[in-house]
Amino acid sequence: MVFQVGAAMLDACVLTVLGKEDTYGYVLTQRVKDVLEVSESTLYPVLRRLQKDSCLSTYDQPFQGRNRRYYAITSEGRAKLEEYLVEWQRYKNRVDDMLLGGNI
Amino acid sequence: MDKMQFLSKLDRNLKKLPFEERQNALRYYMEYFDDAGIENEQSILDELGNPQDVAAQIMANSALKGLENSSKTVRGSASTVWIVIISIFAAPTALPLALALVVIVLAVFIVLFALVVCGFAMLLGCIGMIIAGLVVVTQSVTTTLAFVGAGTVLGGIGILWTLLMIGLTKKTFSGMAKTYRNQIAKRALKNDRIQRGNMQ
Repeated sequence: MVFQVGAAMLDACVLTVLGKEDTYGYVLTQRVKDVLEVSESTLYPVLRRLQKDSCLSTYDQPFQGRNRRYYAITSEGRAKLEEYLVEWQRYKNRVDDMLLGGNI
Repeated sequence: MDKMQFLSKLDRNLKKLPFEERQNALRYYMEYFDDAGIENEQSILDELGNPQDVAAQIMANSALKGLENSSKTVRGSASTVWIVIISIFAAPTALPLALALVVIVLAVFIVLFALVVCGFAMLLGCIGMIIAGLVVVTQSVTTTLAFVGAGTVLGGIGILWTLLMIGLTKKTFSGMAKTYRNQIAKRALKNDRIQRGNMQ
């Protein structure tokens, strides 16, 4: 992909995935990787940051004799996601205007 | 490199992080490998690449990055001490307290300096005594032996003393830096958040 993916985009994608259902690190990474070209090591810092900002919480669930850490979106996280969606729509429209509409 | 090697290298490269952060990161990657399954292990390892880079990525996002890194060297601690002094002066409300603190810090500096100088003096004394002993070797061999012996003892004590004092100096510096860091940890966290807000 030629366009750069920034911190806000990663935050928004993670929050979107978690907005649908709670999930764990590996699945989360695969979901985001389906859309964006990120590496396997990209998401840990993102998750940690979102957690520190209390946009998401974690809980452990036993799975095959070990614990799996699930991530869940919080109400702060949902509010943040709403902001991102509004902001994205605005940004997307402006870029569309510029690149596709010829409004320079 | 296999999974275990990757994880232990990652662990080693995260030494500068607080214990809990380190555990957390390690656990995440351990689980990641488990969830990916053995059949995907190699491709994940290939993509993750160098554990050092992965660690750097984690640490870059740690809230206290600058402070965590600077605490390890004497130079870093010394500059933290300077930041203490400067930031104390920047607060006009606490001037008497500031002066007292500066005087204390200064006093500690002077004492440490004196102790180190003391060590060097012993080393100089050692050299002087050995020379004095050798000068009189034609007159009295016993005097020479006594002087050289005493000089050597003094030198030995001097070396030990100097090393001990240099160690003490380092400890004091990093102790001061640590106290200061704990106090501003909250502020750094806040700044980090503001910075991130600006990035977005």
